[in-house]
Amino acid sequence: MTEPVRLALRALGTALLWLLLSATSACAIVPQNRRQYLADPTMPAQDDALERRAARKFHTTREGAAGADGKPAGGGCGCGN
Amino acid sequence: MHRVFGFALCAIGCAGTPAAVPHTSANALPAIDITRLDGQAESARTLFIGSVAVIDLWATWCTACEQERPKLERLHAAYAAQGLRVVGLDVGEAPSVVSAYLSENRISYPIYLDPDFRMADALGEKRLPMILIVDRSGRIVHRSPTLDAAVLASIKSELVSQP
Amino acid sequence: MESQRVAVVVAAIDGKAHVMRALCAAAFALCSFGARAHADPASDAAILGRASEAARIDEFRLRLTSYSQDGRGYQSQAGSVAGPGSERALIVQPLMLVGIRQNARIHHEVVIPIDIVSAASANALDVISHASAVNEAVGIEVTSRFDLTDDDQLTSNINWHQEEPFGSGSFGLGYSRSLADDNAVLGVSGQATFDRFDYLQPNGDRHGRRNRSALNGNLNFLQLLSPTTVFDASYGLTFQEGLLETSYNSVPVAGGMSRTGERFPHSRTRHAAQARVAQHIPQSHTTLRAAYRYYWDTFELSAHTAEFELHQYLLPRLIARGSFRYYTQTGVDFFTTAFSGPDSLLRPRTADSDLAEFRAREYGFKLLWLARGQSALDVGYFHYSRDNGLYANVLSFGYGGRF
Repeated sequence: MTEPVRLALRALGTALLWLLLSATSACAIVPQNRRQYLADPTMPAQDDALERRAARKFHTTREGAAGADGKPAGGGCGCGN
Repeated sequence: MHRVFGFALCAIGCAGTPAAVPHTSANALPAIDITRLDGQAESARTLFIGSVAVIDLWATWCTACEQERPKLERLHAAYAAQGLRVVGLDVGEAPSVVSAYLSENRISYPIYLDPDFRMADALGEKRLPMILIVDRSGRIVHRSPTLDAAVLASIKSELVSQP
Repeated sequence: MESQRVAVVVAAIDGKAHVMRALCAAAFALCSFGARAHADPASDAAILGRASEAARIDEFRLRLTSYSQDGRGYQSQAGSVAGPGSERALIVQPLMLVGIRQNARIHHEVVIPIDIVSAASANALDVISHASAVNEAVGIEVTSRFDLTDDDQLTSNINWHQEEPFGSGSFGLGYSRSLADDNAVLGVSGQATFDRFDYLQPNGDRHGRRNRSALNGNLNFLQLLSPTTVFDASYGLTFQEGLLETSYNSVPVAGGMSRTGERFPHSRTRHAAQARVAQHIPQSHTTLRAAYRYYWDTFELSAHTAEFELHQYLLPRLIARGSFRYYTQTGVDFFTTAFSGPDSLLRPRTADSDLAEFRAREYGFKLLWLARGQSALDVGYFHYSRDNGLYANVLSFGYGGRF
């Protein structure tokens, strides 16, 4: 691995670690009355639960991987999941 | 490694710290201008002095605020004759956004605007919805996120009290 | 006689009068009741609304999805003995969701999914049972949320799923806590699933019933990074035990003259970790979303998933969404399309194309119309293709909203 690549990977790793730490620090960044954009229909809070469910069902029955979305990763259907 | 540790300290230091929103201690209604839908500005303190008022801090995107509105409508209809003023104060939105919302959602009581959060910040209020009861001298006597029996009791108490 | 007739008439009039008096009293009572109910609009009950305390439906959604799939997989016998068989299927899935607000702190969500699967093409030889020809599946999922305080929420869910040869029940509990004035949410949940199904052999024989179970735990964290940015991360751990293979799937035997049944290890431990970010750009009315997931398990299968979405307002009430998903997996370590070894060995083997090494790409497009209030109508399409011989076209229609 060349030196520039090593430096780039170190910078990326530091940035990701900083993002993870700041994300897990639970800072009160956004007051409740300033969340109009977070309530936008295109943001995750407004996702259609049935659409998410249908997509998850499709992927878990055609691929070997499942999980990390709060739903069971195995069983529940006769689909080999 | 020390840089990572420094980031961690900075991040952990944020934990549980509320956003630094500057505000005044707000028992008195701040003498800050709020805007009518036609763009005219009025001082909030002079607007409400002399009457008991219910000020509902709301926004068009706030679904909890929509759930409070029917109760506020009924309150306005029941107590307007007794001098109670019910007012909606939209927080943080442009007049065009509020006007478009009102063209589809009729609200019977007056609506004012606080597009830059100046009044909300001066009141120290970051929550929506927030219902404020203001007495005749312009003092905020009750705050609640919902119109409930305690709010009604406070309103009735202020209405019967001597100015 | 005349006096008796008069007496009868008088008695009748009196009787009618009694009836009339009773009817009038009842009508008065009803009027009074109604009048009392409306007599005092300034009453606390009238202003606060008694109806606000009663249970009511506050969300309703319908979705109809059609999956048209084609391709070939070695687990299917609808082909040559040694080669892959047809995986053609048409699946129609209506879904319904009803949200019920029981009171200010309790909310229930009921989802009813129905799958109608046609798994056979016109020339299919894979008709092991009626279930593998045309299969209907139905279920019900009830999720309840209890707001313990303004910051703490408990959830429970009970699910039941039934298809022709297969039944499943599961229940789960979860807890989440809001931190820093709702700027962050930390959650933990667990789920237990129990399956019971017919033990079908590749030749169609049925040998009683078998079980399997799964225990699942999840951690998730959500953080608002700015007024326009949301980040969330999650981890899921699942432990499965029991008859894990699809018993009627078959594996070609080396030599090309026969097939044997699929065999999985008796247990499986699965891990998945995911991170997502959503960024709204107010100036252009655009939202960008990205997600990454890494998965690995004790079957030696590992997978990477990357997803991207772009949401763009075309009109104040019309949103277009483009999406792309890239998926790659290594395949389980006992995948084979030519099994060698005595059939009596319980050595794991599978030719299931879903568990092979492959890459998959998915391209999608959706239009969402925001109707009055908080309801919406949408139509979407995505095309999914795997490089090991499977593709699907999916069309979806949805309607619903909150009220």
